[in-house]
Amino acid sequence: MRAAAAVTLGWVWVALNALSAIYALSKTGLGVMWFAELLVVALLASPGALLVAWGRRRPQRYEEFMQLAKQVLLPITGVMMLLTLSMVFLWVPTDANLGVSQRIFYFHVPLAIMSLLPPFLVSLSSIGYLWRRNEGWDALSLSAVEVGVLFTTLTLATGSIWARPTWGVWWRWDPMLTTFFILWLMYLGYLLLRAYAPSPDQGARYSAVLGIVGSVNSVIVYMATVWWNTQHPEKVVGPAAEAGSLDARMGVALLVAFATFALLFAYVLLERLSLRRDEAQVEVLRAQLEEAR
Amino acid sequence: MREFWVPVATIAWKDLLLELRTKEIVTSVLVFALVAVVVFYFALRPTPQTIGFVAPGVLWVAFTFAGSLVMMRTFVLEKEQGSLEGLMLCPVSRDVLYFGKLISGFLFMLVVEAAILPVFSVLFDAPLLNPALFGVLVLTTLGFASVGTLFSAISVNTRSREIMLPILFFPMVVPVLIAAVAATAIVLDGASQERLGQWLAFSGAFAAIFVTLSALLFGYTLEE
Repeated sequence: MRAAAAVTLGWVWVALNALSAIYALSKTGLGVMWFAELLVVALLASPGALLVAWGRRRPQRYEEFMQLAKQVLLPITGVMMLLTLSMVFLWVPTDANLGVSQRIFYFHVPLAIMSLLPPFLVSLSSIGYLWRRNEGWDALSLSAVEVGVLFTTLTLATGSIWARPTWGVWWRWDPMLTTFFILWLMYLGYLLLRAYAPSPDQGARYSAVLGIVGSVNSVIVYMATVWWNTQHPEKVVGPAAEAGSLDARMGVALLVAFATFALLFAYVLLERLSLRRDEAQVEVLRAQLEEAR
Repeated sequence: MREFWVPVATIAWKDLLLELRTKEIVTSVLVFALVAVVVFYFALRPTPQTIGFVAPGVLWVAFTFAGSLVMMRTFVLEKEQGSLEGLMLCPVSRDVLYFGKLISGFLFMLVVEAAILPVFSVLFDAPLLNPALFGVLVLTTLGFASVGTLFSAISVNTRSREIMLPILFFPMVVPVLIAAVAATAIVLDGASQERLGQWLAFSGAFAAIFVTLSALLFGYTLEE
């Protein structure tokens, strides 16, 4: 009964989080962006969270499922990645205004949207951890943050590579870029906090607190930077601004790229989760070894 | 209601009394903030034309640094003297501890800021002694103290706590810092009162969200 209450509360939280993010995004006219985000969150965050809850009940079958999922996801992701690459470089027409540099959008946009997933996952699993003190929730937050660092770094890098020839600068302090940068810094703070915590248990607790506060803050950072910029009217030529004017082939390629990076995200997350389980087992074995001496 | 606020006031009063007797936190942070302002002056060399752009930023950077030091000191003192355990043994709920620490940290920061403000307006020749700025100061400082109290309770228990708090604290206060700088610039300009109200509302919302959230989560930072 309490588990059901926890799951319900978690979902309410995610819904609130998602609604506020969508509200903030819709204010900027990034319609396609938030719709895709909602879709991806529904597709990915829910199985991730359910997986942990289920893994607690049936560890044996959870283990089997994880192995199977990884084995299935890896080749599919590989094939999809090849498909995306060939579409982007061979099939899609070159953008009339932006030229060849626009092709990086097929990597940058999916990466950016996947980077928005970890805050949702982390806030959900942090609440789960503080409520139930289940190691699985903690493993999910840690894995989500680590994958988040990877995806956010790639987003910032691909964005900069595109910005240099188009805007003439590597970096601009517009709302999107600033939000991602702050998000990236908060992820690093999260990982440092775990590294410096006096014990793994305290590290898990502290980082769960940080995960909740930080996820809420990432939405507020975005709103603040949007309002800040309206004082300095500067037209943002963001990736999503182009989304309305896509050629049909461009739209298809973008969708395929979304699917590819969603699979990649899921695969890397699963891989990290099972690595975390192995780490925990090594810890147990090491403790037993110490006792045996 | 009474059972809640009396212990909160007692904990806050304990910190204030300690500070009144030792003057350890406020004096050291005050001197630090002054030094920071002087360093900024020479780093930026503002002219009468640029001072309007530079002054709000410098002021709030100094206050942010000072704020993180104040928050750190209030918890380090508890930790060093082993009185954190004593606080945890108090027969009160954890959010009472949070509000007590929040109030004392908030007041220390306000005292430092109130002392810096006249000096700053003389050094930077900026008319900062304005009643509108008082609202900005109170709301922003409350926002700082709300997350600052939570994060210093966390970082005081970690290794290399002096670096941990700023790493967690600065990204977290970016929104309210943006609001404070924008609002201060408006106060200095004297233009667009409507925008000022919006930024004040934003700071108020930030403080409200994070006071609530931190009070809920504070208990988890103080378990052994």
